[in-house]
Amino acid sequence: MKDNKIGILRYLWYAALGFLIIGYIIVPFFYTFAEAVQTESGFSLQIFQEIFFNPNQTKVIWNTVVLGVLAVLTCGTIGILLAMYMTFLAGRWKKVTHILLLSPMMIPGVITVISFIQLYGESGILTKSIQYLFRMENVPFHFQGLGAIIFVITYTQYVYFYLNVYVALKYVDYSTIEAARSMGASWMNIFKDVIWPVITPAVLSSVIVTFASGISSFSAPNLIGGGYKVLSTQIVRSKANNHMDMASAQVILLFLISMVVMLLIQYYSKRFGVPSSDRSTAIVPLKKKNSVLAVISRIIVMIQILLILLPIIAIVYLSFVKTSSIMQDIFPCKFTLENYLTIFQKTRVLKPLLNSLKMSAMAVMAGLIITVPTSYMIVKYKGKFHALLKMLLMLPWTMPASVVAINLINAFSQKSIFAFGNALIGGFYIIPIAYTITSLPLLLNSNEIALQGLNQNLEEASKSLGAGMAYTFTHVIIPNIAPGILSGGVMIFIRTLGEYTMSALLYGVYNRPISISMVTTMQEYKMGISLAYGVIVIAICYVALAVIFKIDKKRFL
Amino acid sequence: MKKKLVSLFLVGAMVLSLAACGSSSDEKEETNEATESTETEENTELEDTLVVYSTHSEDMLEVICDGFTEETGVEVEFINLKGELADRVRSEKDNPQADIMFGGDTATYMLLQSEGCYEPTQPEWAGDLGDAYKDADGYWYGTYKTPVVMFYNTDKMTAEDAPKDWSNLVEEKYAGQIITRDSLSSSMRSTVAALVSYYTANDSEEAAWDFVKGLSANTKNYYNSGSMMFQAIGKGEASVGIAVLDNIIDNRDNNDMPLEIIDAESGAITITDCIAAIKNAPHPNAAAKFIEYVGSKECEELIANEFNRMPALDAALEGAPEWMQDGLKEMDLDWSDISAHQSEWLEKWETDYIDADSVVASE
Repeated sequence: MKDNKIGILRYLWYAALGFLIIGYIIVPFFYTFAEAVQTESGFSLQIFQEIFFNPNQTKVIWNTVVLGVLAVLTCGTIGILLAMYMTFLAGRWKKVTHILLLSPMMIPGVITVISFIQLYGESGILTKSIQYLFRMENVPFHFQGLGAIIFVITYTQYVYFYLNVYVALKYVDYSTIEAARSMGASWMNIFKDVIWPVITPAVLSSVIVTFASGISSFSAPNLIGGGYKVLSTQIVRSKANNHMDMASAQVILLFLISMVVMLLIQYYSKRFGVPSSDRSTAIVPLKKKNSVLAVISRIIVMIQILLILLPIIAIVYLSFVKTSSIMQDIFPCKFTLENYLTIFQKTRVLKPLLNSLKMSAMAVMAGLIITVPTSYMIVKYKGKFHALLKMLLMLPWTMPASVVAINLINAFSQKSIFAFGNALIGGFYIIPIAYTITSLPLLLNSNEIALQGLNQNLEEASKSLGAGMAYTFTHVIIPNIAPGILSGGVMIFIRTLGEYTMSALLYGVYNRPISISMVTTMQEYKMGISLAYGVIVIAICYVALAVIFKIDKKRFL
Repeated sequence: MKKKLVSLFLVGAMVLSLAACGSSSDEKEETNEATESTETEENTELEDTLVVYSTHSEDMLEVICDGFTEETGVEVEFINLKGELADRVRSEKDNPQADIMFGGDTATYMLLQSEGCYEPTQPEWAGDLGDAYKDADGYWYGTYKTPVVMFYNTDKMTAEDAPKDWSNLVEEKYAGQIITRDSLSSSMRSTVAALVSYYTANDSEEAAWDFVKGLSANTKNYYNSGSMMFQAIGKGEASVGIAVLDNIIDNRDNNDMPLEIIDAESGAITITDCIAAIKNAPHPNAAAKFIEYVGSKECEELIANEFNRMPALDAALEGAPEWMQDGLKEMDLDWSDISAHQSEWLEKWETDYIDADSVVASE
């Protein structure tokens, strides 16, 4: 009797999920496809022909792929290096360093790029310092084009690699390393044979995320790209030129690139089945701290940390400087509190911050409501159907931000049955919906990790004591997996708070988010206020990060 | 464990209550909208709210909208969508969210009018407005004359060396000395389209594209943000820029920058910033009233004095700052020609001319 009820509930849940997946992920995609191939005389692939036979267009595609690949290589190198350092060499200050290394994740992309320009641009603080210090006639470098984009992406997006590999390294069996060392194996060999196999899954999933974020990065190519054009910036331009079919075709290409890479990675990880081991001995930081290797790596890591922290310091510093000084002085130094006062005195200036807090919180809640029961079913029932369900929900992982946004625009600019007869574009809910869609894969992942750590016996015990499935779920399972799940939620909160790419395409009068305000105030020659917004967002994110550390020590520290 | 969870939920509750403070007004508006839509038919009573999409700065919109609210009691929501304004109005055509489109050049308004995006209105001052500044059927009206001009940093360049006309910009001595906004800027879009149209009319289309090519070759950098562009001029990375007049005055007076405006021989590219009521919008009566208010002598004078925007209505010039009385020389432009070709021209400019060349030229 009870089980029957549960069965009905379960199928209702599947139906609701199906409605959401079809309405908000799959159908919007078909709208975009239709926009690209529909012409007055029916269907045609002419727009793709136009793209592939125009060297300017194919170059944009090539540029995008190059950007993605380079981003993976540089972020991977820095991220893995830092994770290894933190695991094997860091002793004192480890906790503080760890928190500092996670900070780029919390800075809105737009603000990051601006602070990079203030530091490394032609009149940047660092550029000019180097020039004066070495008495050079010309500036030492041009912070523009592919090199500059990669530089910015590397020092902001390495966090995925760093965090994933850092967590994975906890499962390296330290006794194996010791044994290998005592048998005279070189560090190179140890890395290849002992460490690499354990971190491979973490590396592969980081490759997918980093590649997707690399090819869809918008702020960096837009502000410092110079002549380096990529698909994400061209999509916005095609749209502004009233060339929606072109924009849609570019969206489809962007998605295909991302999809192909994900399939390749999945094929790779299946072929080289990855063994997992349970760590038996805890890793203790190496004792011989003065070996040449240790010293060199320490210096390299120090430089990396400096490069990561400089932009943050610059943002905080400049937020206290008068805009006129930022605009003209090579070393801005006229201080003021006005930037902050303006934000808190004018409700209109404060509102975007409240909007963003509200929309991110909504996305977290909707995301958790959708993913928690779903993850539970996926882990519990397994099977082909659940694998398919998971695959569909993971789709947004490979969808660059602008793809998600354009799909939603195409699907919801007219009344839609999936929004119960409403048109969502221009309204408040479209942004939280977009945030929710992109948060699904990350939440599914963190839920699953939390669920796998759940002791099966607890569930059995609960059932054998006569508790029903619903009761067991709410009273036994949820409390036990809550820390892992909530930390995933807070992570989404941090990631969406300063989101720009989707917000820029979807915002309206009622939901102007803080990232848009940063850009608008910047455009209106109030750079100081814009940076003060940035500092406030960073501060909020630090508080959120502290919450994660408190509730989910196991995974993050 | 329990304690930690409790504290977490407290934090969550705080965030939500914070957010809730900000949302109460939204909800009010939404319910207002719902009740209004049932009673709008054949009713000239003003609605309670109005939504404005614009290209103007938030400061200026705030002054205008506060004045309007004071006069009519209608609450106004506004956003500055910059160069994406037209695209947004177009993509919401089936389901308009905004009542007013405010800002952008004549060519853009002509284009959107032909696509059926607007609702005609008949403000009282319509008759006093020059024919070039309004649509014959009342679909859109000009509000401000917005000159786009060249300017230079007086610390870096003498008046003698500074360009005298747009045609000078392609000369070799300005290589790497010019910076402009990029193709997502609303004023830069108008400027390029206007220059192509001007040189095509006075010479040939080939000459026009030669000019664009030369300008691109001399341009050191394109800026997505006006701030970044003025910062680059302020710090001396380049000497000559192209910008909207009031932005230059703003940076000269408020940010103390050493800037000088160039009164070009063939005239300033004078964009007429327009306003229109959007078709099938949720608050049509308030929208008509808003246009009436924005174009009125009082409001035009206010904005002229506070934001250096030149009124399109001649009557408002009386109370405007002195320099507006004489005005800048205007370039002679055919905006209907620009309207007909601008999408094509801008796309050509973007794909074929803005290129890595500009970076190379500066090295």
